[in-house]
Amino acid sequence: MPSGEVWVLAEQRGGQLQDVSLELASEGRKLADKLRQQLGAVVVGSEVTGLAQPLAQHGADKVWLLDSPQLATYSPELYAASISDLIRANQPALVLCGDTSIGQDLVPRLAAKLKTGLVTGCTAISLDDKGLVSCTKPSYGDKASSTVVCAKARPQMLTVRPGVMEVGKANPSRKAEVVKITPEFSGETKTRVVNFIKADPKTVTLTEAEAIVAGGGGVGGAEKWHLIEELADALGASLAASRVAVDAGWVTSERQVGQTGKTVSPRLYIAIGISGAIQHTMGMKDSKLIVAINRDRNAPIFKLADVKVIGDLAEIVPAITERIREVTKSRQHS
Amino acid sequence: MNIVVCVKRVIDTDGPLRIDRKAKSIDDKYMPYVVNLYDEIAVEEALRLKESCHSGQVTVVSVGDHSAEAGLRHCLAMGADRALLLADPAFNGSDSYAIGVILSRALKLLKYDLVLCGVRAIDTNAGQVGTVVAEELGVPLVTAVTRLEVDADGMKATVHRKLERGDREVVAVELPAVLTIEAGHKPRYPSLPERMATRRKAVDCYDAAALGLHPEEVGAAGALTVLLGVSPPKPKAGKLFAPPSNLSPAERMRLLMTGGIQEKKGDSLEGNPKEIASKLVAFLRSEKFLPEEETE
Repeated sequence: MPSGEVWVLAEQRGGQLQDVSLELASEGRKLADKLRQQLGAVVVGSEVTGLAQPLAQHGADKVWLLDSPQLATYSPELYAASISDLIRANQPALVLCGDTSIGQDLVPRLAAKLKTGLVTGCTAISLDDKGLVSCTKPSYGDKASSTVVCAKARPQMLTVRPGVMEVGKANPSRKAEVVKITPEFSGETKTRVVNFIKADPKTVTLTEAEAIVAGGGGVGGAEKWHLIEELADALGASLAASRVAVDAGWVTSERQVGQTGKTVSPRLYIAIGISGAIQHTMGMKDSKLIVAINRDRNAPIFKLADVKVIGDLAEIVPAITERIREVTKSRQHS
Repeated sequence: MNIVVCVKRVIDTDGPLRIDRKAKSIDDKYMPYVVNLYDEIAVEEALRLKESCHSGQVTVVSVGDHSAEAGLRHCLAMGADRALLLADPAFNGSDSYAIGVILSRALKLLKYDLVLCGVRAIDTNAGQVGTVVAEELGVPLVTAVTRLEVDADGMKATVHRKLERGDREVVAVELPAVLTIEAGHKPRYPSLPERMATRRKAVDCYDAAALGLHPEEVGAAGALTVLLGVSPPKPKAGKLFAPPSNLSPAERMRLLMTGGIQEKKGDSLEGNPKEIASKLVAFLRSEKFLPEEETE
């Protein structure tokens, strides 16, 4: 029997629930309320019982745990097989998942197996009276936005870009029914992960970098540029530069951030000796955390900064590098 | 090594895009069309594989009306050996799923060790066709491939897969397999003589009957999703910025010129470099950019 429920495929990595899962639980709760249906959440992993609670607190009525040592890390074939079995058995009306590297790989597989409609990379969703979901997504290189519906088969499936939906307030007293399933697998998978390559900060494309250390004209000369490089190295961050530093020839142009360079949004951006002209800031203003180091306390870059360091970079940057090395070294010895 | 590459011809989104607001569709009159970038990279990778093992064929296949032929000829000029056009009025209105079904039927008629697809088309941005093809053919699939090597015996491929934040996963996959290509070598640019030489090359044409497809399996009848419309992107809600009136006109002017960036109330650090360093490192630790303090 079709249950008509709304489901969220929650994502865990290394036992940590990803932010997008709570965003979708909150959004799924709203949709489920409109449809007067239950909200189900599915967690796949190994020993993930603890992840049921945050999902319940954000709106899930029922949490399915597909728990097996073989599911500890993402395996396309095993995840797709076990989740599609669960969907077939329970027939939800709507399935939401995050548009992450896992979601982009997994959800098209589920849709193809179940022969049902899928809209990927949604940024807005709206529901009509009949329970049909209109999904809006960027298309044509973000120059247009398309509205698509999953017209025929059920469930309607969609992946939603992370950070688009808001996480609702957790209700600590909310409880969910938890169903734990241990799927059995036989035979070998046809694809096998043989290695994981952590991004090398030195060579990673700036647009993919997690942390960036950027230097600008305030560095003052090619002979001092090594200060920036050493800090980036100690922190394991990628090196970037403002146009002034690139034009001066201290660094190659593929490392340039700003209007004529790259637009980046790392988790951490440390701007050193960069005054913050709009040509630069428009390339980095969406960074999550910005630390600015500058001698001029009126430098516009400080308006963007979460941490403002006022002083001479030639003294401060080596001190920071040294302190970071101390911290990471003591760690290695223990 | 026989490689089939699935290609799509798309509107070149590098230029300006005209959207017909009334019809809620793209006005493609006078719009240049190109081979989807990711598909073009897939063709390049296929040609390089063929060149390195000195045998086999590269076949390009596309679903569309006769205008899609131009895209296939571009691939022939790049060096593909054979082109297949899957065209039938019954295919109109196909979504990713229906396109995947049509392509997989054509692939069943071909001999292949490897099927390459672009990871997504830059127009619809769906990223589903390769997966549907793999599922319909019942062969293994690796998505978002950035690097590709095939063993000397042609039985296995080792590929890099794109994850978040520059990380990569190395995956071994048995052939035949479907790979969706996210990045690779820069596609070669065919010279004028190469383009001229392909003008008379045959493009094989298959219709629904030749592929053994019923009209209800494909086109709008077989599609699982329906495009309701395309509109210009929603303008981002801009915050109207009014500089505080107690500032001097010059200062207000300066604030307006910087685009009215809202000042963050960040912590200020000043003074002794050593103290600044340890405070900043403590902050970076609390934000998990550096390992946590040992608890002893």
